Amino acid sequence: MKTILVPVDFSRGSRRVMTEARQLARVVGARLVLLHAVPPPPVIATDVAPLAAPALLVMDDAQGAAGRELRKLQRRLTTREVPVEIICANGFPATQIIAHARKLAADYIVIGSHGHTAFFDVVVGSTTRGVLKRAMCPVVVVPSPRKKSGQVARRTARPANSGRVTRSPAAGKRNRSRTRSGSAR
Amino acid sequence: MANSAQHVDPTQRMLGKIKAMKTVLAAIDFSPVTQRVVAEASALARVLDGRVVLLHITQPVGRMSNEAGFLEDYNEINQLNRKAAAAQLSRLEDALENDFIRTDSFHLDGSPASMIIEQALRLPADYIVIGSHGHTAFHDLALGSTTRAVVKRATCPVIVVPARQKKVSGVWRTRVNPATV
Repeated sequence: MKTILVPVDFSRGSRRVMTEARQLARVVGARLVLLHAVPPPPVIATDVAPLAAPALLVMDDAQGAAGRELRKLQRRLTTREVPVEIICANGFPATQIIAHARKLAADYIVIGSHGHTAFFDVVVGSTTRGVLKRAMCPVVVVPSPRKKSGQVARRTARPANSGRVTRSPAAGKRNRSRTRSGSAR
Repeated sequence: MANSAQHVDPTQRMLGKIKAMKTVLAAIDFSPVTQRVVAEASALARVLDGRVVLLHITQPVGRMSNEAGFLEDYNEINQLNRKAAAAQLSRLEDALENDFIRTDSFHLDGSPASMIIEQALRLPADYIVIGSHGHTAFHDLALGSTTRAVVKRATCPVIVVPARQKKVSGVWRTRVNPATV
């Protein structure tokens, strides 16, 4: 049986990735392997002992949550034709994806064009780019759903019109009021 | 150049509109990765019971210098390029049709990335298959500039076939994907 590796990050854009992966698995006759990599925390406080323990706790929590999400996804995606397996790995996403693709001898990697765009990726660089650069098997890049330009315009325009947000003439406060109204919605 | 993009056989356009038939667009440049790209595309078209559309874009050579010595007939060079590409393209098409895969081929002039995107929308293509890099590998070690632009702008899934080779028992060779055999 062929193997399709699907790195998931539980972002909103991954819905289409899942649909495409399942469709491909059905026609090719493959199993899906969902892989989530929990990246290491950006800062590891090795010198400050009191901070190390909470950091590890956060990591533990992230692993547990990721495992739960993966199992949920597995239940949702499994059909009679397409078996689904899950892997929760620890480490840098691109490295883990390449390592697992090699280990599983994956026939395809199905990945979103962007989506793995947390703060982590701003620092390290795009996961998808790293995978494309180093993969030995064909990589199916699924485009992310694009935001309509109108949506973006409305989002920035609204704080100025709504009476709820008090805007001070100070330029520094403009950003703050914008984020506040953004989180309220 | 723009005219050749707009001029698409009406039957082809109609074929593309038939929803049931899946279309796999293979963007090829006759670099070493082309063979694998075509193999991937045909394997996919076979399981999808669809067709392969081979797309090659020739980039016309323009005049680089105004000096009198360089005023050669660029049309002639472009014609030669086109002729060579057309021959290779029809050879690939024949090979695929001998394998009982429905194949069409387009040979257009222009900027590769935008032409690929345009054709993918026009057909419309269900998948674009493209090599991770072709001729520009030297300039762009990470990912070919055409491929990067296509991945960024495509609205359908893009299958990027690695051009990289792997060392197997001391010899550098391309890893053959079992899906294509």
